[in-house]
Amino acid sequence: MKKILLYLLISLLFFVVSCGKTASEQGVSGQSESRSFSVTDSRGETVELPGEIKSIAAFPAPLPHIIVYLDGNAERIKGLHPLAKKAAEVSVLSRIAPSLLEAEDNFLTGSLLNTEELLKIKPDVFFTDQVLQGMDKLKESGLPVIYLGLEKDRMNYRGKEIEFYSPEKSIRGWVDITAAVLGTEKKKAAAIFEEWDSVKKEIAEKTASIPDEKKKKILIVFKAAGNMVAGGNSFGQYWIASTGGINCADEVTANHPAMVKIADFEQVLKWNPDIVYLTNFAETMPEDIYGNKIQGQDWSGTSAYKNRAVYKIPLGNYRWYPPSLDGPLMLKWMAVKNYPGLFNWDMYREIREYYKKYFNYALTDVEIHNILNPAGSGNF
Amino acid sequence: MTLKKIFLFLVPAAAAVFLTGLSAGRYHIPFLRVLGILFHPLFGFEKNWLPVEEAVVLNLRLPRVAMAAVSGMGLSVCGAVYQGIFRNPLVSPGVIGVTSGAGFGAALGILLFGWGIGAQLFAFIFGFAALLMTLSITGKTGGNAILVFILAGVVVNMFFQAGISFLKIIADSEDQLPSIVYWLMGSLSQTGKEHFFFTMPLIIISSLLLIAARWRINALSLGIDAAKSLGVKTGESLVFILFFSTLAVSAVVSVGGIVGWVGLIVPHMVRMVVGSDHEKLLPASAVAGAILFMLIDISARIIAPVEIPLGVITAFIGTPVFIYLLVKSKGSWVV
Amino acid sequence: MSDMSKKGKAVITVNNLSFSYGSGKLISDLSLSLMQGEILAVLGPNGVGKTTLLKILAGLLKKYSGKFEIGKEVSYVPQIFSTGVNYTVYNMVLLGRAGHLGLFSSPGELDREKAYEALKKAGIEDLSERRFSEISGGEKQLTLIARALASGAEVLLLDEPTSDLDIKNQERMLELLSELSLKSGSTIIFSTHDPSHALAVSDRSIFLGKGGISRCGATEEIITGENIKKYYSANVKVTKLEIEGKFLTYCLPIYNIIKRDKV
Repeated sequence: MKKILLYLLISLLFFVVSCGKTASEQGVSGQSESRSFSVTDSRGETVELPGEIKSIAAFPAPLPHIIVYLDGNAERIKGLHPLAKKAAEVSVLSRIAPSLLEAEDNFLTGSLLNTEELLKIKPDVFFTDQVLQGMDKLKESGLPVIYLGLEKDRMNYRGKEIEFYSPEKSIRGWVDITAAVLGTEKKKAAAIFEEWDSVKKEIAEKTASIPDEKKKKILIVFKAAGNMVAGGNSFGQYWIASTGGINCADEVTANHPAMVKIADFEQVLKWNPDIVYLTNFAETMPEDIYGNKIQGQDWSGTSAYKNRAVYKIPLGNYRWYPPSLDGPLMLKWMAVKNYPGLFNWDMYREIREYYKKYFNYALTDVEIHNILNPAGSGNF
Repeated sequence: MTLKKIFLFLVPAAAAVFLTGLSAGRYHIPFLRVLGILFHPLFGFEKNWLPVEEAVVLNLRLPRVAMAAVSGMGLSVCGAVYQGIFRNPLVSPGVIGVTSGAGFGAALGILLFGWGIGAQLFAFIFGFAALLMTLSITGKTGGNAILVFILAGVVVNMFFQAGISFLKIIADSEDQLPSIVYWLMGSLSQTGKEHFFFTMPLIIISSLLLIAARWRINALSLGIDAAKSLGVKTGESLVFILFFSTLAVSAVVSVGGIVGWVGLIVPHMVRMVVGSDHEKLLPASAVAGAILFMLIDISARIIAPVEIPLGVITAFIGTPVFIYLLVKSKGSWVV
Repeated sequence: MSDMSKKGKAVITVNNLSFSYGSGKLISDLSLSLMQGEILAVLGPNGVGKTTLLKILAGLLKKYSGKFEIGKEVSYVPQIFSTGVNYTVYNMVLLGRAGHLGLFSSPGELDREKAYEALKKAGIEDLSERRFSEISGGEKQLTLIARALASGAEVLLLDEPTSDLDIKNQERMLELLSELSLKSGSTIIFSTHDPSHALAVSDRSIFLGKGGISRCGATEEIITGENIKKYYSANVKVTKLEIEGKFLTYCLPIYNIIKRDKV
């Protein structure tokens, strides 16, 4: 009896897997004529959408700036996660697209979805980046749900091929899917990635000649309290490797896209990073490191501390550490910090031109200063 | 076995484990250097070590190993005391809801203010809130006070567990959730020198006071009615015990999160050797708990470069050991 | 040890004591008084409040009405004793000193002496290093009484001290009770199911019955066939027998059993 059950279970599993595979073709299928169309999301699910998308509700925090990039404004965003709204409020994004602040944000609390509040907004589509309680009910009620998941990529790193959560590949996927939903021209959607490719190529060429032992040893600290760092399969791996550095924490990995919790702080002293970057996921600022203000840690033995090479990662339209459309700027900024002798980009100019070109917004010097010197974490 | 003999074994063992804890870690430092760094203030050895090595031993390892020892002591003493006064071998420091209450408080604190004093303070406030809830439920009923008390504790426990679950749901999944989840499973990675000044003394003093009342706990372990009929001021004794055990447990939780197992198992292991007499059981549990918790934390630090929560290690390593002992002794020490 | 000058003074006086559980009256308007060194036996069928009475007098139950006065040093020995802990007999007896010791004190030389004296009085000094869980029911009872003695109690409240004991141990227990009252001047109240035990050692007896009724008086007057019929609905004969030159009063049940050869 048990065996039969097991067989049934296994065959069911195969069935589900094979179904998933056939549907994983990504992109737009039918359009215009029947007005309704379908989009394949990150999970490989084909989602039927009604004709024109007029109203969007979104869970993922990076989505607003993607939509602003594709649409030039946030008119279609009617519902947002409260934290995404708050982040937009204090970042430059709400200046670029002020209508973001009018979006409803009472249908989500943490990852708790209030279906009725969401339906009240009358969205044509709902975006999410995590499986939420009550999501299936949404589908039953006829609201299409688009799932935006993270994507992994592979790279050659110190003579080995490794797999990691790629901020670049992830944001590319999200832009593709979102563009398909919004009906944006493919060429327009792809513009930002042409720049991304060229920046990446330029940095790779200039750093290629640095031998591994001369490369800067870099540690990205996700959250200092709790010893969370960017491991060998995290977003951080991408940023560090793409800017010619060695990831101190490449030997540790976890099933998390952004970080791994290391056993003990003294591991950091053993790694002895040359440069430390602090993400916007925690309040920690370089001064906290220099002042040794974090419980249970003592940074004074590291080169980064001695050389005062601890930097807070900037925060533009969105946090620069996770997938964001400011990726090319993140690459340039990090390259300059890692190898000031090799790269001399004027970040004020680069940021100003980038925002003008892709977001059609003229940043003031103060705004650029705030991007480069964010306070604390992205959640305020 | 007399207490003296037990201590003749336990105290050197504790010292050895303590020194092992100071020498073990990712950052390799030769043992003699560790000793030199440690005893330099006493004997003024010539400094043949790097400043970073001194920082590792004195600023990172020493507070953590000490906190592990102190936490193990606090949890084991509280567990032994509770098992005694509640006359129930299944009881652990979590039984009256204090652990979950403090856990909820700290999680809420992390959510509101991030890591730090706020979270610790909340751990204390909600630890005592849980105790008061349990007490007020018990006060409203008559009958078998101890049984009602344990039941009330179970209910309060569930209430705060639900609260923790709720906090996990509303926490920002990128920013706060990892902190809360990891911390709830038990971790001493937050331990720093600060804890020498407040948290550790608090746990030590509370534990010592409970140990000092060990003979009174013997009397209470006869049952509240029996103790009362012997002329023991049971109400006063319970208030004293519950106050200081709540203080100790909340202090442990406020730093190390919720580490089960130790408070439940250590008293049993010690009871197998010294018997039920709290005159021996409490002091021996204190040292044995300190040793065990230090060993658990050392394992957590050296098994893998990735942090393994203490709660996981205690369950994976401790449970088989305990089952072995239980089967071998046929549970004879319980009754 | 015994202080005969106290004899003649009432140590326990109970006036109009009542106790009810929910709507039912368990004890109603009970009054009695007991002199120093007297033994009172509490009798009555199951569930009439024997244990309740002892617990009220021990100060363990509060919601009663009426008044009672009882000497300061009272010790209650419960009927069923199970413990999660496993002490030696000596430590168990030593715990009788708990009422005299502060929160942070452990027993001193004096306490240890008293505990040992109590062990001797109860005749169980041989058991002192045995584990409480390993000894027989009778020995457990004796240990608990020794504990009560160690506490220095002048009044002992014993809940069915002879139940669960074999005949030898019953004898030993009864001897101990009379010895304590005679030699140490202890005032003892004990509950029992066996009227013969009351007749053997108690000066006074009390019958508790359904609905709170009770009757108290000198044992010889109280324990009669008539009263036992009334309170237990059982047929007995209370009779004096001469055994080995001593006159002893017994309560003998009259069984109405048809013998096999009469069928």
